[in-house]
Amino acid sequence: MNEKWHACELHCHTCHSDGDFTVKTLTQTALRRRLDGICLTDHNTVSGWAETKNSPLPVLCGIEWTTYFGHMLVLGAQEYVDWRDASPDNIDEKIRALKAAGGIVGIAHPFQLGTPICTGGHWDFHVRDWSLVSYLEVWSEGCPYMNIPNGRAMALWHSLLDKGFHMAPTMGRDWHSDKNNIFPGACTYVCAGEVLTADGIYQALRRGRTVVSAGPLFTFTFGDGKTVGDSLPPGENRLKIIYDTARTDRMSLDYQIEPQWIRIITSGSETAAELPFGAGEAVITAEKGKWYSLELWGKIDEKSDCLIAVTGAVYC
Amino acid sequence: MKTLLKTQVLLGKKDEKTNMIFPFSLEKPAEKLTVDFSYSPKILQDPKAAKEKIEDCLRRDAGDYAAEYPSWETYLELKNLVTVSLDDPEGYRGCAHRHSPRQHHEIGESSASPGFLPGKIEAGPWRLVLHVHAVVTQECFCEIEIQAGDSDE
Repeated sequence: MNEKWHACELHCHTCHSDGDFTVKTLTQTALRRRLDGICLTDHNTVSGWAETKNSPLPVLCGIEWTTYFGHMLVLGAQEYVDWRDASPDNIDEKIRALKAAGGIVGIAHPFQLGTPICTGGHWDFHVRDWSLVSYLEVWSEGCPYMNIPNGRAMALWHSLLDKGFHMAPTMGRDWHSDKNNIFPGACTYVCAGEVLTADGIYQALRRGRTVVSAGPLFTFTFGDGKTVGDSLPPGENRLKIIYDTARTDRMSLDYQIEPQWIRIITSGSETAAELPFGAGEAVITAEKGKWYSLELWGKIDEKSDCLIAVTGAVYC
Repeated sequence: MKTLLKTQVLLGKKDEKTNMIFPFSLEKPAEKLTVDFSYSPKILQDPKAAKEKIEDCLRRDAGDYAAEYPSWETYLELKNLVTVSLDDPEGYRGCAHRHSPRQHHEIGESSASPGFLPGKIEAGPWRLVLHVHAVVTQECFCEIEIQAGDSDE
């Protein structure tokens, strides 16, 4: 089956909670952003779901659990699980109930300043079993350079990979309005079938097939059609690097991206190798028990040493 | 319209991050239910108190990075946030997670205010849940009124 990378916004709000968008204007704006799919994640309600039926692009329906101890994105759960009695110590049980209802969960903006600046926005839940969490918003609000919360979220993601958990990194704009969106090309790319469906987004998140980017698609393939999220055999692996600006070329972005180098990052947040941008291939000599991810670095406008894109991990 | 619940509650800091449950019951099915909900004040006007709360938040959530954040004024204004959710006799009916301190919701069989699910307004035990996300002022005065009746009322 042919697979393809699709640009998605995984964290969206409408007037069903506190967004400026209606479901219709959200999907229309998403199309203008050259997005292929979105997740509808209104705060604590599913009342917008019914309006996604005639959407011009795939919408994976979800909910953002907006609790006092953290904001958690829940996608695809078919039954209601009560968010209102979530407490720091029962979150594992809550996630298990959501998964039993067919859902997957991701943590939104874990290091956002919390109450009273953004109520409950800082992740204070005590997750005991991180294997329950499918994805982590390592970039929030479309901010592709390493601001402090995003840097801390990246470090948390690495530390969880180090402990052996498989988890997809995501970018969530926490999209409430079409106004004041910084880096409007930023998105999460997901690898799914040729024609994207809501289930394709769900499966990609579940399988770790994601890339976060300030705009362009940056990813890789290896072996017999394997890609991000897959297992990497020990020993020498040749990765074919893909860089594609087709989507962002069609947007009139108000910022310039100039990739300069690629970093292969591995367990312990160590640099396994650095390559010049333009290298069509990267070689990873994989060691058992380690994870690997590719980062694209360069200039955004006049700012040097910017992180432009990060791929999900491959696991040896 | 028949009033099913009319109450006032004075919220303080101690109520932050708690839910308050207000049960009410419908003796017979209705065509629509209305919820009027308001709280006041919305904004913390005292700059000294705001500074203290913002700095506490930075210390707690930014930790070692607090010094790298912009000045406390960046995070003004601090606001109270109280939201409501609703349960019908069958279960969760939705939530209005929005920032307005004065809200009017109508729920009926074929339509409902954003956040709530349309459907039958059944007789039986219902409840409104008040979610006290943040109380930044000394006190926050909150009023709730729930009514049921026919659509043309």
